[in-house]
Amino acid sequence: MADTTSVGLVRGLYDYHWWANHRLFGIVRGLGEETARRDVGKQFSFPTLKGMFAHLYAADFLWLSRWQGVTTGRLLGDADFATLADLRSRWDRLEAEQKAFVDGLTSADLDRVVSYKNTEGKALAGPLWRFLQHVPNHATHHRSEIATMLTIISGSPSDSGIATYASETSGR
Amino acid sequence: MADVTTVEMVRALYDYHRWANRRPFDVAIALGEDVAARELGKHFSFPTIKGMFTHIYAADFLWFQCWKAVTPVRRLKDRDFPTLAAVRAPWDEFEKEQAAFIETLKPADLGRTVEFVSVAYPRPDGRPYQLPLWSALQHVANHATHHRSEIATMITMVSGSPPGTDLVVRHFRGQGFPD
Repeated sequence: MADTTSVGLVRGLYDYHWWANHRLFGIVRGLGEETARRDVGKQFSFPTLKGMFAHLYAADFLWLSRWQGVTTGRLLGDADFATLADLRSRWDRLEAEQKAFVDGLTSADLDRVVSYKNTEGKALAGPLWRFLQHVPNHATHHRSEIATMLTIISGSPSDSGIATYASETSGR
Repeated sequence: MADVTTVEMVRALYDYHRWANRRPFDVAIALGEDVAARELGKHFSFPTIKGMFTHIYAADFLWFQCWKAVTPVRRLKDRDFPTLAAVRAPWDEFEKEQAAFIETLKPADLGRTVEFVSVAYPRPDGRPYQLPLWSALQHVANHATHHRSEIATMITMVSGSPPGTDLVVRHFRGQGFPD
């Protein structure tokens, strides 16, 4: 039975987020480091597959820090990761921390006001639940670009939508 | 103040969904029908900006029938719309129906099982996908974000990077902040 509580919904969404990120990352690792560093075009938010994944990591890292009330520095980027393998090991640690945070949420936590400074130094604040919705949605936007880049490089990757996720993980 | 409920989170997600769909649509309309119908590459899910918008609308339209267990389902096609401008009025009407459904959701509805037959990703045994309504609700909004990203790339190619459609942008604009 699906957990339709508010925190159940958030946990389900993050389980999907990790599943979809891993699915595409696995494909890119299979193509190798050189392909991941190839410039695929300026029309994308970041021109390489590695840069796109580095941005996904960086956003997850920045938002988790904000949720935890930790002061954040600049947004990390492609240059902060030597290789995809380097990114993977740091991302695994971040995901474990993110999972502990999401697993520990109570319904009262969701309304907590998170105050932070954005990357331009402007002070902003909002309820935690809204930011919890933002991060997976942001990742879907950039995974779509990764899917387009992969289609250019090697062919259309397997679907990473929520309906496919729900079907593959529920066994129904 | 009571804790935020699942239903409130779904409503907020759909408020975002409608805003984020309209924002690049207005940009595309301003670029004109020729640009919206231009072939921009086979590496996109659909090769034209118009085709991408009609796919988002068609998916919303299809899933709405699944949410309500309507059978047989009616599927919209890009060729049903001669122009991008012709999409707006029926999509507006549909959005009102979709919004009414979302507004009247009750907590008990969210665990209900929804069935869906995919043309793009059919199951090997031909059976429908089954998922709880709340997953199906999240799916539709997430699906649109995926294709809006392609639209943003396409608009970047034809005229320059469009205004952002991040969920936090919607959140802070709702509070009177600029981009």
